[in-house]
Amino acid sequence: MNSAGSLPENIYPDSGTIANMTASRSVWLALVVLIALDLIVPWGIIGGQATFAGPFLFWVIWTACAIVGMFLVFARWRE
Amino acid sequence: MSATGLSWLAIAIYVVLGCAIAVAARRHVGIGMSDFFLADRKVGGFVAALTYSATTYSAFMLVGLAGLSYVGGVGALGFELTYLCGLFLAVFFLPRFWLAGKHYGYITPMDLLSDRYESRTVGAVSAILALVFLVPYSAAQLLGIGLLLNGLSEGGIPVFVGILVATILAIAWSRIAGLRSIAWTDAFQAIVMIVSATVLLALVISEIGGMRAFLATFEAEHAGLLTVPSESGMWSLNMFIGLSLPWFFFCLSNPQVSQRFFIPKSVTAMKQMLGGFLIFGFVYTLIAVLWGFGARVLVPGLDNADMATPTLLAMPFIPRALALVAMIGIVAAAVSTIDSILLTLSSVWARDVYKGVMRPSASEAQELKVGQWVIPVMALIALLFAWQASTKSGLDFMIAPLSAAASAGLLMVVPSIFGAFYWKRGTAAGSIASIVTGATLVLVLQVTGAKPLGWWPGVWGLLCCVVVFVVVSLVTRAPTRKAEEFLGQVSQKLSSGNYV
Repeated sequence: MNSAGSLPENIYPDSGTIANMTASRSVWLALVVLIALDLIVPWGIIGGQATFAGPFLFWVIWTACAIVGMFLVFARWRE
Repeated sequence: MSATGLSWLAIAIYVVLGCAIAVAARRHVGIGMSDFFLADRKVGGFVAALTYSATTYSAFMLVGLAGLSYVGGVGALGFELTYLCGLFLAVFFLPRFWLAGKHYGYITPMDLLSDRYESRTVGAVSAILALVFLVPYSAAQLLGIGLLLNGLSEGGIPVFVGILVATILAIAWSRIAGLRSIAWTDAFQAIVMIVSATVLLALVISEIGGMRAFLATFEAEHAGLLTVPSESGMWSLNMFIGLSLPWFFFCLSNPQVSQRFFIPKSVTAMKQMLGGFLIFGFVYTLIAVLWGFGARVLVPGLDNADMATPTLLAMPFIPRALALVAMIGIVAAAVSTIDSILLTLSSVWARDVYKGVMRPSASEAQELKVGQWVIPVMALIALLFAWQASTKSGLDFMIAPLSAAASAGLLMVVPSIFGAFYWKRGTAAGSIASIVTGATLVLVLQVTGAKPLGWWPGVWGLLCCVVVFVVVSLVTRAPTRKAEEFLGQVSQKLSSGNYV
């Protein structure tokens, strides 16, 4: 009961909202991991590999993964 | 036919086709700001994807990025793909812009900020930021077209004439039917861009002996360009972050791009726009970088890397007709960027400066009229900039520093956009102070060439901007009621549409 004596409004988010918040946090986390990999792998691990199998291939695969990730997220959007 | 005659013929065909498309788009024009500047928020997915692509990718790709790949190697690929992955931000912000735009009737991204922070000054300040940084950027594109046409016509088309032609096209295609004519001509231009670039890359690779031989030759002769940093010392980590950071936020910081978030007609169209752009961007980036690598194999030793593309196009194994189509593809990339910038700046001027600050009582018809008249004015200013630069030292004078300054300067609006959707405590004072402080710092660092601790202007500008936004917001009074109403509306719609 609140001070006016009536029942409080529902202050808890529904399960759909909670699921969206969790998904949102997961996607933000995925973005942070992607950015970290973008810097760590080329400059810290394979930067000196002077072939197309080095940073070139890494960035192509990294981007493909990011694009697939984005498709997975926005495929769930609905009208 | 002479090189000049052929170049004019190619331009004439391009202009006629583009104008026919723009005029066809005019048949669907209605009335009002939303109709003219946002095509009444009814753009289908396919056209939305292509206009987003053509607006984003300018002449920078096949000239600047190819040149960067030529001289600096694989780091250029990482830089441009990092930009593309910045579209991850669109996964969060595209639905937010779209839903809020539909609900509140926003025309420009600045309009959204003004309403959310309950301050017309926020809109006006971010509008001025866009005007300051985007007009010179457009001028750099115009100058690029002038120099390209001049080079490929072997001096037959004077630089100023090329600049003038591009300016007239940009004005015409944005004035004829607003975003409708731009979206349709952009779609046409995007197809020209990607098809011509693909065919030419195939020719270059075939000239080297096929894909396997191309990769083997490049690895054997230019292995140092496949490392980061490259053998020439380019692409240190600081340089990479300095260049990539502003571009990572490009989809939010550049109003001509973020305004596209308002235009899809449905959720399906929104998904198609984002998905289509990602595929287009990935393919086009790979083409531009491999094009630069191909130039390095076929014409090594160029003093000016920006000449890699014109030099490659002039080689005998490339049929003249295809070289002209490629030239048109590059011109199309530049024109499609400039006309979108002009249209966005005119809507920003009309909505956020004229109606927002100068004459709040203006009717929508007056606002629209002002917006339409601002298009040629902005174009004229950009033309004068480009002309002035062409009489000095050409590309070195304009394109590189202005592109870098533009992207770093526009970045200063990003904390305010994040605050609008994610932080109830964000205030108008915080937004204004952060934009002004950050942009000033970026300009000072750009002009002086200073890089304290080796960090680039965009990095310092963004750090300063975030700190100022947070601190000033915390010590000023937040528009709590509006923030709760706005975020509540958006949150409710996000939840029902399964957005993150």
